[in-house]
Amino acid sequence: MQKLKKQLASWQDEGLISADQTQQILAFEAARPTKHWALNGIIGVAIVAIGIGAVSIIAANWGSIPANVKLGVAFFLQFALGLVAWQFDRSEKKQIAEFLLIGFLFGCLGLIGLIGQVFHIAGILDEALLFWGAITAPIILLSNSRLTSSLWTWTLVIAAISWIMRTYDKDLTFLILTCLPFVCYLISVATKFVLKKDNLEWSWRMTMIATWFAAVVAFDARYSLSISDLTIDDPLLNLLPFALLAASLAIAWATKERKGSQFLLLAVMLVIFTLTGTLDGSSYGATFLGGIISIALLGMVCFDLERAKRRSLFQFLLVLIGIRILVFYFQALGGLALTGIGLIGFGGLLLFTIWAINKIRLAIQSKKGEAEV
Amino acid sequence: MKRPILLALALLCPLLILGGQAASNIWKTTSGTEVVLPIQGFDPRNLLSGHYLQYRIDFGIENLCESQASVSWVCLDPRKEFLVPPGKNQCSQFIVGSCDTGRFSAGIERFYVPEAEALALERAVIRGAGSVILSVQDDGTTLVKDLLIEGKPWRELDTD
Repeated sequence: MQKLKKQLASWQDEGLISADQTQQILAFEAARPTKHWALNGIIGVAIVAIGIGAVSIIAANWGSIPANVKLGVAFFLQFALGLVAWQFDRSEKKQIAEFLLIGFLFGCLGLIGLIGQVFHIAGILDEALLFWGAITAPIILLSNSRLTSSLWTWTLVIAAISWIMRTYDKDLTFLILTCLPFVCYLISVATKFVLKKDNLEWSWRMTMIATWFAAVVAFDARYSLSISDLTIDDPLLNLLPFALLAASLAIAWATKERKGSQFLLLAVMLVIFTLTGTLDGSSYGATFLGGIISIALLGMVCFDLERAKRRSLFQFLLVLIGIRILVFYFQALGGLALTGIGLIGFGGLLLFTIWAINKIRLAIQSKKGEAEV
Repeated sequence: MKRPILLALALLCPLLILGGQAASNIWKTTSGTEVVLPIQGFDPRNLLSGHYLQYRIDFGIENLCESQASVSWVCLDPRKEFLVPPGKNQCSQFIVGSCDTGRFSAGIERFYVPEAEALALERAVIRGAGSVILSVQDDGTTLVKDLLIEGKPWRELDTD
């Protein structure tokens, strides 16, 4: 409210709104039912505190509880939690139902862990998470919350990446990582048009962006750190990213999902694929070219974020680019003195570019103004 | 179908699957053939990871994981030997697993223990006093039933 008052005062000072309008807006906002975000937060803290307390008490006596009792109590509690969530959902108390569903999802993960512990199964975490993702998928299909679907999607994708890295060799891992943004994009479109689930579509789109960053980092690391030999003998596998890219573009066109940013991300992936093939052939300079191209790719997205007025993301990306540039100069020039000179040169070049672009922009605007007069 | 019915089914789905898994494991533990095999800590520094003992089962086979295969078997009867496809026909009792970096793994190389007893059990396993009771099914799937220290259940070990 204080922020709104300040904004209204500044708009009133600028003559955008009258004193009456200010009062009307303030009266309207004061009369509006407030969202119970603070109360929800406190309830959340209380639930977490009770949960941790209960877990601590159980953990203290864990060894002396018979295995069958552990399993029986855990299944009963999970069933009760599901029943309460179902009841709240039925009585249209959707927010509480979603909180309980998240608890139920975590409970399922806990049950998997408990079964592993009781029967001394030497399981692997990513496989357990993938199994969890599969058995809880029907709940996610019925959830309407972005938080629930995001928790599920991201856990699943991270587990899948871990499984891929563990199962396949480095070359194939890099190839699959490069393909992940397309897979996420295709799933996001499918969830929107086939399942008609906006929350799930949103979480897969966010995952697409996250995996896109992972793909750029993988591309960079592959060259800069010489992690992989980059040779995949199977020509069909080499064509896979291009095939997925083509499918993504075709589906984007057919479903009219032609958002500028998404196209930009897909285009960047095309650049990566093409360059991967080109750089793989050259043994000299690929180490540095990988870094330069990654910086350029991130820079391209940065400009797009500025255009879309996504300030926080823009600043985050700018910090990433800055760190990468710093690492690049240390990699390329080695010593502190040379790196310092290189960085000063780079900073100067950047300032000069901004000054030149600004000057050109002003010149164009002034010509435009003259033409209009 | 109405949402309450769909949600009820969705919530029951993981419970039924996990319940089935637990029931299947209980059945496997009670119905399988009991086999006792000695265990070794393959790296004493990392033997106790968290609240479980990680060990290597000593099958008494020299050429274990000599050849790599996605699925392989340790034959226990009529004679102890390591087998890769398609060589398990002549074996009447076997454990199914896979070879990972030269180590045979059947998902039974872990035993969860209470924190208070963990250190004493770790020491006992390092000095070679540990063995495990396995429950082996006809299809080769195996579960760990109990940990023995000097032939006795680990719970009887005096940890003081």
